[in-house]
Amino acid sequence: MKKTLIIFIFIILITTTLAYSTAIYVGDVGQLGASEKTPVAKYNLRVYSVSITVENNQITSITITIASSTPGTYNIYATVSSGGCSATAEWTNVDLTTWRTLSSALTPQCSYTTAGATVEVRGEPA
Amino acid sequence: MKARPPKLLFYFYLIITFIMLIFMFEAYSTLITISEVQPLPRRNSITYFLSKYNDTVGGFKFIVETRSVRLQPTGEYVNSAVITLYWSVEAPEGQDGRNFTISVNLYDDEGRSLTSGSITVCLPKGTNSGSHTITLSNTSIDDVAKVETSISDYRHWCKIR
Repeated sequence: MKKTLIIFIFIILITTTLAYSTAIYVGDVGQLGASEKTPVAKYNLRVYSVSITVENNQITSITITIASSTPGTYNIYATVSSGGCSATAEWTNVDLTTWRTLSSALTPQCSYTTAGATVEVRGEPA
Repeated sequence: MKARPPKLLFYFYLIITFIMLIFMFEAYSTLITISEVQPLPRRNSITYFLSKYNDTVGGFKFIVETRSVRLQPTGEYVNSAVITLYWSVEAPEGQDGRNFTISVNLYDDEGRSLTSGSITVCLPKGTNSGSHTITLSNTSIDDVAKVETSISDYRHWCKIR
């Protein structure tokens, strides 16, 4: 009886150790995105074009063409900055299984000042 | 025959086994949680700089604006950029316009230049817009973190034949 219990506990101990070691291994490597057991995809956002509409020297809207190296659904943000003013356009749940063209009006409308405008396009999984 | 009551040691083993089982289930559930992780970003933002040039030479005003930049892909590589300009250029009589140099530079995450190109174009006087293609060397789109345009005065009036 005692022998059986000891063997049983020993088996459970080994299984627990294996379970924890596997979890820790996947956890560590998963953060690096290189696990063979649980591959974690890493995405590169690809912005092929940026276009702004200017009316009376005010940047009124933005159009971007975007894709991702990892197809999926993303939330996309485009921030236009010029002369100390900035405006952000937002698109939620964008299906990036292929490239997409996104347009949006901008509020506030920033002046298009010299030396130019910076457009930062950012994306994250939805 | 009277049944023997379980020994204290038996209860001890039973409790230990129960605790171990809980830990085992907890460990496996952790494993399942990790396997459902979302894609991680390698690069989740790209910056474009659209330049604007504004100057006056000899009383003649120039405004040249970059309105759009389009990277032309061939598969996962880009080899040219199409820049759309809007301009308002004044020129003296006898001259058709002013020469400007338009440049585009692609940078990686560390700010190193990946490729660049430029063209000098004659922008006719008056207010107008047009697109110009700048040739670049083959660059992987996944390396591009920043696209920067610039406009400079070539300091020459031009004639359009």
